[in-house]
Amino acid sequence: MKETVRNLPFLAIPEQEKGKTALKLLAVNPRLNGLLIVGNNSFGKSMLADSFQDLVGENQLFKIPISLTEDRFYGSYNLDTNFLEEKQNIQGGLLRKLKYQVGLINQVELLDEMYLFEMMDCVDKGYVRIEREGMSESFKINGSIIAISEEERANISQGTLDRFGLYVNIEHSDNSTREKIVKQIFEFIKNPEKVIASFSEKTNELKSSIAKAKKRLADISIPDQQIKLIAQLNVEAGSQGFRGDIFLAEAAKAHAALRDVKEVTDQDIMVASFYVLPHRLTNNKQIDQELNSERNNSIESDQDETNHEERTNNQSLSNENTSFDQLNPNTNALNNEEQAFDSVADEVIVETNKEVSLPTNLPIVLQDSISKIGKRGKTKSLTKQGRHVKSSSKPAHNLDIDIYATIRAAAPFQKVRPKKQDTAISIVESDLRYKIRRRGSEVSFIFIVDASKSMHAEKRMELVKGTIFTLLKDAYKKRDKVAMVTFQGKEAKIALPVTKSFDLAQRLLDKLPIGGKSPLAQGLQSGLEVYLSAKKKNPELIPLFVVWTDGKANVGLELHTTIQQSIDDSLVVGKKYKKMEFSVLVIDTEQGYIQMQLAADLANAMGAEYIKITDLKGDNFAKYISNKRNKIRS
Amino acid sequence: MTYKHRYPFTAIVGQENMKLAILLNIINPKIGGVLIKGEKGTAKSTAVRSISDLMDGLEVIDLPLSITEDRLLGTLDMEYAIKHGEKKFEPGILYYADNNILYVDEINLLDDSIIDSLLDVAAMGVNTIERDGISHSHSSRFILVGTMNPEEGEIRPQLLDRFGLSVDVFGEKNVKDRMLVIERRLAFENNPSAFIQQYHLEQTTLVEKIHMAREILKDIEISPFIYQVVAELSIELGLESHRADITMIKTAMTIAAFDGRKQVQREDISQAAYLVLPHRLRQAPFDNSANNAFDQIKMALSTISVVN
Repeated sequence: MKETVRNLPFLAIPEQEKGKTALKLLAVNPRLNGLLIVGNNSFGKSMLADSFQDLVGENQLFKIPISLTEDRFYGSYNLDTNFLEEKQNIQGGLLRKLKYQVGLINQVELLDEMYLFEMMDCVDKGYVRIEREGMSESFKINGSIIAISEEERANISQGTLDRFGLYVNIEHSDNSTREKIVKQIFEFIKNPEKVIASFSEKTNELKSSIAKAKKRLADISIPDQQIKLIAQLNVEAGSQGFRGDIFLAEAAKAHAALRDVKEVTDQDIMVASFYVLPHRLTNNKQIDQELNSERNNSIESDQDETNHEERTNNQSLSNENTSFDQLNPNTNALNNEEQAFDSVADEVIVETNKEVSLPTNLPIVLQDSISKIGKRGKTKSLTKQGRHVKSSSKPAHNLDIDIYATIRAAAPFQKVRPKKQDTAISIVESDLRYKIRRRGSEVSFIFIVDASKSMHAEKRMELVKGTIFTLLKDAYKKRDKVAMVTFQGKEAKIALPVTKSFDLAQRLLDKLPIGGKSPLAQGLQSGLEVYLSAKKKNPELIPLFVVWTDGKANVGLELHTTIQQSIDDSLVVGKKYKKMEFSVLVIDTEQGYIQMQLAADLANAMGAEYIKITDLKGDNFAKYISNKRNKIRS
Repeated sequence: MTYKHRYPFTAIVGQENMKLAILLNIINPKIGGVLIKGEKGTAKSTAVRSISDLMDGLEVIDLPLSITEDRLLGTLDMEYAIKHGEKKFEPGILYYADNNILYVDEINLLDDSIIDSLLDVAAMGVNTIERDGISHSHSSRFILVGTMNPEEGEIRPQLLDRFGLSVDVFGEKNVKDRMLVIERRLAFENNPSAFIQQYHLEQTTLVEKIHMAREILKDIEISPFIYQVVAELSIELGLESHRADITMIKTAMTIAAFDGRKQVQREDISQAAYLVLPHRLRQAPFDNSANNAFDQIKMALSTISVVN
């Protein structure tokens, strides 16, 4: 049963111009594969995405639930009564819907990445191939994906991210916009028909203008000079591979088609670049700048303790203002074209043989380095956990019956077995087959690293990095997973959610900024969060926490805590570890003559094993960890 | 499923190593396949898919990551069993891969139990099925081609060993070449058949060259000093298994044949070494692989004293 769901019309949604432009580009050109909409607590993301149907038609959008199962994803056999007589036909399957339709995923960060990867890969290739459970099928697809993430750094694997043509970050709405949106929603709830009707004429116009633009797409050409600009922008952005180039060309074509011109211009490309390039930036200059500003902030704030809070508040306020100012001009890209082009054109520096610069207000998505934007990445692992790979007659620990394999086992006997009434197929106990799924207990190291100012002293950080490195190498060999939380300055951040990418961990470590205060309690809190969100994916994940600290906390869970409070906070959070009986190793980084032994207290509170960093020697350490892991595993 | 419009192999910009490794495998399937590693979006899949245009009857058989064991190995034909009460074998992917190319995209993400089955068959060249009341075996000799992005995770060592050759591909940093990539791609998407027609001559020339190379390969000559060079190189690099030596010689022979020569030269060995050895060298896991391996091989090559 399908209910008609009424959505707030696309045109009735106030503001949100960036998001609207991105949706239009995707509607016109499905070759863009998909659009990733992100925004932390921002307002109306899904409302906006739902209204996509106004651009492409009602039946062209379908929702993909995050509670997907494999049979719903790949399709399954039709087990109706004529199952035995007729050629079995495969039923359903979300992948099949992607033949012509656009799939919408809300809260994509909660979807098992296996599905997202598979969808994006299929959309990218333009076809689906299924070889599962007796099904052997392949077909072409033409659809695309709209994914919405609550988190600004959605922690989608880079390969998957790369396959999204478009990316848009929906900012916090300012109060007046919020007001407008709320007002509009209330009116809509009160009388949806009236709102829809009042926009229906314009909605139809919009729909037909999109359809026309879609038709024009094939006739739009890109002059050499503009192709050059596309390549230059991608080189400048440091896009890996060629998808950035192709997507930028396709998005610029879509933009030109919407404007009803025959040739792509620099402006089309510059507007398109706002949506195509942000998630591809690897350009070191930009990222280094970002990192540096972060580093300076924390060092600065460390020096000046009294006015510190006030000043940072002001700073962030003014930052917000400037970013709004910067963003406003191009937000109107399509709705108010002339004006938009004028202002965008100001920033465009394109002349023959001149150096090309990326637009100054291009949003930056730090892919694999310390992210300033997202503090709370949730875990996405790439392993195909829980995927059914084969069947067995021996039941696994749960009653996970493989219907297809069971019927197959019973098949040869159908001619000879007496048939009961009303049953199509006769199955006896010995036919039963169970699914063997790929999921095992996995060990994940969760590193919690103190990167505060005191770590500068006596080459302490080098020692810490050395030990982390040893651990990483070992974990790599054993194919364990790793996550990393660092804390310094005002807060802790999840530098790396649970992952198998050791390369990433290592690079991260190289760039780890040091300085600022020591919010130990927050670091410990984030460690728990990392584990808990990874556990949602794999309930059998076994964490092994390793904490590097001297225990000298001076920022607590809340702002303006005294040193004693800060230390107490860390002990309070530490006790949670003990309560949950986690395996924890505290590596005390304290050195010198006067030692306060705070880390030992912490270890005690956490129920952790405790070791001084100076007692760690290469081989011994690796062996120690290795034993520890084996004990956990068994 | 066949695709009418495939991007032509000869229209791929740059990536000479990758193209060479693929061609050598088509000329001489005994080389043992190729692993193509590289950053995302570097047209790895496009290149593999385009192979089937280079040889009549050669198909690229996909092995999707989501495959289940029954579809890989083959199983009981259920429909037949129900209708006739008899057991019949329903072939899986490995049956269709026989004498063809077996292609695994993102091979580093393939499930372990699928890899085990795959390795087993790859080693024997025969797929033996004893399951679901079925007892059956068939030949399954295929050229294994895998592509992967190392950022997404490592590949299992046993699987890595199975590949005759490995190549690294990189994105193009040069604006001119990048423009070429964009132009060709757009032209292809816009009108595939016209684009394919443009490359007709280049494609047929290449196909002829492959056929000639296959003929030459039948009576290729290797002088004894070539064996010496290979042996010295392997010792210098501390390679324990002989598989590397043998693959190096096979590859060098094929390089010579592709070049239209019946004599294997020392340079052929050098060129082969860069394709055969990088993934077999012992490396610390955190070394930045490609360059380091290349340097090692270069060094080793320069120390070899054998002269013709």
